[in-house]
Amino acid sequence: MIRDSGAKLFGRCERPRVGTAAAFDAALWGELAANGWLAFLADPGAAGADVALFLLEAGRAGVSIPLIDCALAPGRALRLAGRADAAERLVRGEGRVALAAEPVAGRNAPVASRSGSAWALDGECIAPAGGWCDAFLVAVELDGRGPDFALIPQDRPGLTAMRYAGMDGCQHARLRFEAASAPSGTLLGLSADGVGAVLAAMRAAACAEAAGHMAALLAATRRHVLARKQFGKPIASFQAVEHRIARMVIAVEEARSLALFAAIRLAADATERDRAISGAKAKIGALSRFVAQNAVQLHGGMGVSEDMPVGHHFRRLATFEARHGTTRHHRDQVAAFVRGAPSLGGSLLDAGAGAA
Amino acid sequence: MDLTLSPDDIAFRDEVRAFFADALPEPLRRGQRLNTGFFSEPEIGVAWNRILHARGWIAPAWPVEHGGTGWSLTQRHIFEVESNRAGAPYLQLQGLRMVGPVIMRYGTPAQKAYYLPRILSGDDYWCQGFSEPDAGSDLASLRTRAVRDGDHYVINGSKIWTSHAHHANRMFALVRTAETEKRQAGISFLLIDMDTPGIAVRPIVTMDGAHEVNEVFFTDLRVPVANRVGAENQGWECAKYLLEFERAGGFASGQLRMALDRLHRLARSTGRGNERVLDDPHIAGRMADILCDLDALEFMELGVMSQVDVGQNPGPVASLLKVRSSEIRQSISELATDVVGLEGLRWHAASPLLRNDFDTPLDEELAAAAPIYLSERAHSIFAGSTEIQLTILARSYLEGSEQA
Repeated sequence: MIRDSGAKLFGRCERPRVGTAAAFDAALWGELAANGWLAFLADPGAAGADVALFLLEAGRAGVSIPLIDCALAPGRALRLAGRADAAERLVRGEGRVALAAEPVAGRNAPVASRSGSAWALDGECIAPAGGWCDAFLVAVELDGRGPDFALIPQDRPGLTAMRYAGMDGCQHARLRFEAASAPSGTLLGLSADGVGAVLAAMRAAACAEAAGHMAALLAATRRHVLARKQFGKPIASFQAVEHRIARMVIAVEEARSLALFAAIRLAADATERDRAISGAKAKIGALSRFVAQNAVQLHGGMGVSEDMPVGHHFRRLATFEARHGTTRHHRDQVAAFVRGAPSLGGSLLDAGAGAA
Repeated sequence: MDLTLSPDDIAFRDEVRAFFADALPEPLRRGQRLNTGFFSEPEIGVAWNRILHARGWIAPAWPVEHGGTGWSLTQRHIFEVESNRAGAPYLQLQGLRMVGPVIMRYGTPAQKAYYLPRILSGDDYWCQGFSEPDAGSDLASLRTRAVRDGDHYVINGSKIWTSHAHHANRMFALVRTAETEKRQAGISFLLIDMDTPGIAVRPIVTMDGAHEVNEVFFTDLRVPVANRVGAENQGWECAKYLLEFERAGGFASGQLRMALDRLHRLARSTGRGNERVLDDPHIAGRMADILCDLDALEFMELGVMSQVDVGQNPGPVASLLKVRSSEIRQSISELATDVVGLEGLRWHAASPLLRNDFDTPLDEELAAAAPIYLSERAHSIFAGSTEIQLTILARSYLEGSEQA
C-alpha cells in the first residue's frame, strides 16, 4: 500500500535537467505534508521497512525532493529532542530545515565550544538540500560531550552559506562557521544514541532510495534493449547483452534486499544496526556504480544523452556514493567489525533471538 | 519479514542445538572438517544419515506422509543453520533431494513403498546419471539409448561426472527411448541397480586430487521396464521437476556462513609474529565484502522461503541464487588460499583427506583449505553453469513484466 501510494505520488513528477536551476517542488512538498507523508518520515517510531518502501518509490521515480534531508532527518532529530512545536511546523511544510552533516574534504567538521553561557561554532560542512532552506540542522561535535545537532537559521552571525547546484538535482549549501554564536536552545541536547538513531535511519532510507534509482535504471535499460534493433534484431537477443542484463537484475535484487535488511535492523541494538547499515551502504554503493555504468553502456549513445532519464539516476547514485559516509568508509567499518568479531557464523535470524 | 524468531522458534532452535551437541560424534565432526567435496565420504555421510533418521529428522523437506518432519520453512532454515554451526557432515542429497521427490510425484505405489524408506534410512546410496560426454549444458542432446526388449530396456551408452558412482548401489538416469524431432520428447527416467551386469565405473580424478566423480559405461545393460518412473518418453518432465525441487529445497547461506566462519577462524588463529592474518586490511576488507554478500544472499533466500510458504513458485530467482551462492562460495575458498599462504598449499599423502593424521582441529581446517579451493571451481559449472543461469535469468526478465 505504501509502495502504491509512493508510486502514485512520485510518478507524475518531472525529472530535473542539467543546466536548469533546480527548483524546489513546493506543490509536491505541500501534498506530502497534507497527506501526512512528512509526518510519517519524521516519526522516529515509523517501521523501517515501510519507510524503505516509500523511499524506494521516490528513487524509482527519480524525484529530487529532499525527503531525507528536509523531513526524515531533521524531523526525527526535533522529535527525539522533544521540540514538538518545531517538528510540527516542519511536517506541516512551514519553514524548511536542511540537514547539514556532510564533511567538506580537508576541512574541520563543525565543533561547538563553550563561550561563556552560550556555545560558539567553528568548522565547515555541506547541507545537500541547504540551498533551498532558511535554517540548518547542523551535526556538531560538542567539546568533550560527544555529538549533537544544532538548529541554526541562515542569518546567524558567523555563518557563511555558499549555495550551488548539486549534480543530484538539489540546491546544496556549503556552510562555514567562524565563531558563530549558538545561544541556549540552539543545541538540541540529544544523546549520542539519539544522534546515532537519526543518522542510522537516514542512511537506511538513502540506501532504499538508491535501490529505487537502480530499479529505474534497470527498467529503462530493459525497455531500450527490447526496442533497439541492430543487425536486424533487438539487441536484447545478443548474449553479451543478456548476460549484462542478468548481472544488473542480480545487482538490483541484492541492493533491494540489503536496503530492506538495513531498514529492518534499525530496530536492533546499535552494534547490529550499524553493522547492517554499513554493509548495506558499502555494497549498495558498489552495486549502484555497476548498475549505473552498465545502464549507460547498454543504452549506447542514447545512454550519454540528456534526453534520456539515465543520466539523472546516474548522477543521483554518484551523489549517494559520496554521501552518508562513502562506500569506502562503510566498507572499512564492516572490515573493522570483521577484525573484532569473535565469530562470523550464525544467521540473520540470530540477532532477533539472542545470538549464540 | 521481520527477521525475528517467535518463542516457539527459539524453543525449536534450542532443541535442535541440544540434539547436535548430544548426537553428533567427534569422528563425524572431524570428517566434516576434512571434507573437501560437495558430499561426505559414505562412512561419514551415511553414518550421520542414520543418526538423523533415528531421530526422525532426515528429510525436513519431505511431506509428512513420506517421512518429513512437518516443520515450517523457518524451522527448516533454523535446522540448516544449526546443522552447519554444529559442523555436521554434508548429507548425500541425490536420494533425499533429487530422486526422492521425483518418485513421490511420478512413481508407482510399488516404487514409493520400496525406494522411499530406503532413501530415508540410508540403505540406498544414489547417483545421478544425467550428463554425458556430449550432453552437458545441452542435456537434452543425451544419446544413451534404451531399446525395449520384452519387460526390459537394453541400454548402451555412457554417463559422465557421476558423483559417487563408485559408492552408489543405485542410479537414476535419463535415457533416450525415442528419436523425436523435439529431443526432450524422447527421454525416459529409469532407476538402475548398480550391481546389474553391463555397468563399468571408471574414476575421474579431479584437480584437487580427489576421486569424487566418474564416468559410467553401459553395455547391453538390462533394466526392468518396471524401473521406469513416469511414462515412457516423459522423463524430461521428471528431470525438470527434480531441478525445481533441488533449487527450491536447498538454501546455501547456512553452509556458506559456516565456511566464512571457518575462514575467519583460520585468519584470526594464524599470522606472523604478533600480527594475525585477520589484521591485514586487504584480508579483512575482502572478508567484509563476503559478509555483505552473504547478508544479501540469506535475505533473498528468506524471501524466497516466505514465497514458497504461501504457495508461490519462486521462479527464476532460483537461477539468481545459484549464481550468487556459487560465486560467494568460490570467493571464500579463494580468499582462504591467501590466508593459509604458501605453507598451506600442499598435497597430502592420502586421499580422501580424512585418511591423514593431523594434530589439531585447526590443522585439519588448514589442510582442507587448498583442496576446497580447487574442488569448488566445479560449483559454477554443475547443476546449470553460471552462463546458463544468466541466460535463464535475462530471458525471464526480458520476456516478463518490468519489475525485476
